[in-house]
Amino acid sequence: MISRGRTGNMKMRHMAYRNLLGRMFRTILMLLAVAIAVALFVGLSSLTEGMEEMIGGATESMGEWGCVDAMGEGGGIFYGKLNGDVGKTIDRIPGVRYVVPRVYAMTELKGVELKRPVSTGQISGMMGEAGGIVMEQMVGMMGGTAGKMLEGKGIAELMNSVILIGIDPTKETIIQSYPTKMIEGSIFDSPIGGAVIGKMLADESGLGVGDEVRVAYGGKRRDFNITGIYEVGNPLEDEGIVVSLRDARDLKGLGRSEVSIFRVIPEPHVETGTIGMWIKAKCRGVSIMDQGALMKAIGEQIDQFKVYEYIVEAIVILASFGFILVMTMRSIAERTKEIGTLRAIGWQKPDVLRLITIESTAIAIIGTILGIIIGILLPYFFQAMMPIVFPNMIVPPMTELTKVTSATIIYAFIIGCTSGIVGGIVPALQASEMSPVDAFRAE
Amino acid sequence: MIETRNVTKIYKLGDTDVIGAKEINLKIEEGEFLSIMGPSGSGKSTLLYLIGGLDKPTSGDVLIDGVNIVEMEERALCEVRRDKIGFIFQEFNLISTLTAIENTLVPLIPMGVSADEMERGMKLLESFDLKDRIDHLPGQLSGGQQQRVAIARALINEPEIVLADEPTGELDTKSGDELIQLMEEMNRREGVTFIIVTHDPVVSGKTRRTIFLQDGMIVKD
Repeated sequence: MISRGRTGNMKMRHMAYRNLLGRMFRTILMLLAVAIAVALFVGLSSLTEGMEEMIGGATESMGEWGCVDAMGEGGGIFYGKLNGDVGKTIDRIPGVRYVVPRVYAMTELKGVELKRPVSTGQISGMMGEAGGIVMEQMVGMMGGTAGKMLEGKGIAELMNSVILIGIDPTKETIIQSYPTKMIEGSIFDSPIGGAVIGKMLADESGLGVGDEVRVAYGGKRRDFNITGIYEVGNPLEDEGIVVSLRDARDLKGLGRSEVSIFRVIPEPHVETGTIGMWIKAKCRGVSIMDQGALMKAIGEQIDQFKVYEYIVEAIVILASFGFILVMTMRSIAERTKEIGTLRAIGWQKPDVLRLITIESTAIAIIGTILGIIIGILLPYFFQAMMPIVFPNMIVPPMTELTKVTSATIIYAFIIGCTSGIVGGIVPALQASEMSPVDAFRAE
Repeated sequence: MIETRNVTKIYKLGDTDVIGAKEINLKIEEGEFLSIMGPSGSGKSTLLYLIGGLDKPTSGDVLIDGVNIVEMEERALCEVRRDKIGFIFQEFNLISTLTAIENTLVPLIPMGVSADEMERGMKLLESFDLKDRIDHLPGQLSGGQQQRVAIARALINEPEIVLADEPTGELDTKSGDELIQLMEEMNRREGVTFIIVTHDPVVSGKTRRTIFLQDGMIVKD
């Protein structure tokens, strides 16, 4: 029975609500149109935001002005090595602001099973025994850095592999790298036996501050006490373990001044490319990775992706808007007699407009909220469903790649509500203008 | 009192002019129980819509209680329709998503429904033998019951005039008879003026005055 309200609005809302429930199929279709558009908007936007943040994090971890990594030719960051003299030579190049030594090693965690998005079981199941043999053969053929990295390692061992980074905390502080990104605990004080681990590694391993972790490299094993957890926003580094230069050298068997790379930070306004060319000219047997240029290229790719994202979003929103418009117009066409009757019994034009606007607004708001929830859950849904639907496919960590910001939610709300309400108001305006006799004749 | 002065209505149907009403001069006193008869296309419904302010005449005046509604602004005309006139349609024109009581109260919804008005709606439905049907949707009611709800809706604002366009057209003889009796009773008891468009001589036989139309003109009163 009709509720005993005190205001006209309440009654109108009641009637609108009854109309929406009474035409359930149409209401669900319109809700879905808004929800799908908003969900796609939220999904795509959060993917772009996540990728941007990842690149931003990687750029930040390199320092404020971009950087050049100098490494031993042929060995890459893991198997190349440079003598300390190279660092001194680079330091004398004009335009070089800081030279920061680092040691990188692909190590294995012992006594810990990492829970990664792609599990060992998944890979083993995917490849089988024959696949494992093929992989061994491929590793043999590859040689070089990749070959060395994978040589002699079983699949389970590879899945427990972790990048170990040896640093000089004082110099890293200057370039605002690892020690400034601590989210729990602190950087190790002692150059021996302390370690900080990335947040992703902490999540995957269950290790925390105060725990001991055993790291193996070749035949050597070392125990480290975890003093802190860092997060730089770059999955590659956030899944790593950071120790002192001295410990890393010791584990890798490097000499006293030897390092894997020198991270070179140029003076402000000096191009990383120019520094790279200087290093190549001054130091023999050194290869260069211009991280600034790399990140710029990736950034450009993301910008390109954003353009596609905007186009897809615009199409989806327009399609949704059009759908709502057509559905409302159809609904109103079917309700011509009803609108004519309302006008005949004394409803003013604004009354009819108000009724249809309340209906559209309710659909727009509920559809938008639904869409936002679906959009946020979409990566989790894909991550859960993909291994079931495509058991042989390695699923990217979508929940890690996406980031839902408050701006995305606000824009989604504005876009969803606007398209829903405007899509309803346009036909409502036409309907309210109809004279009762015209409405009866149209029937 | 309702008065039409030289009311003419011409419709455009493509390039052809169709005469809906021609030079109609009519006076209907307060409390009359009147029917309008005539063959299809004679202009019965057109005259009803002109009297009810649903349509404007091409020329002439329509006066209700001495006020010319032809010259009224849209808003004021809506108020006249809401406060002074009740409409009953051949196909009942109930809102399919609303219950009997909600349909009865529909004219009041834009201003909000007070408890007294709600009570009045209930009493109307009760007096029309619809007490146990107040929460039923139109689809759950018979044709006769739907038309009684439509009459309750027409009377909810306590109008002076009720305009009924072929109210028994969709009903069987028994339901039609009951409906006319109900309208007659409302006319006698409440003094409401009833103008009933019909082509059923049985219905017109029960009214106290009958106007015959042909080709948009009054041929017999």
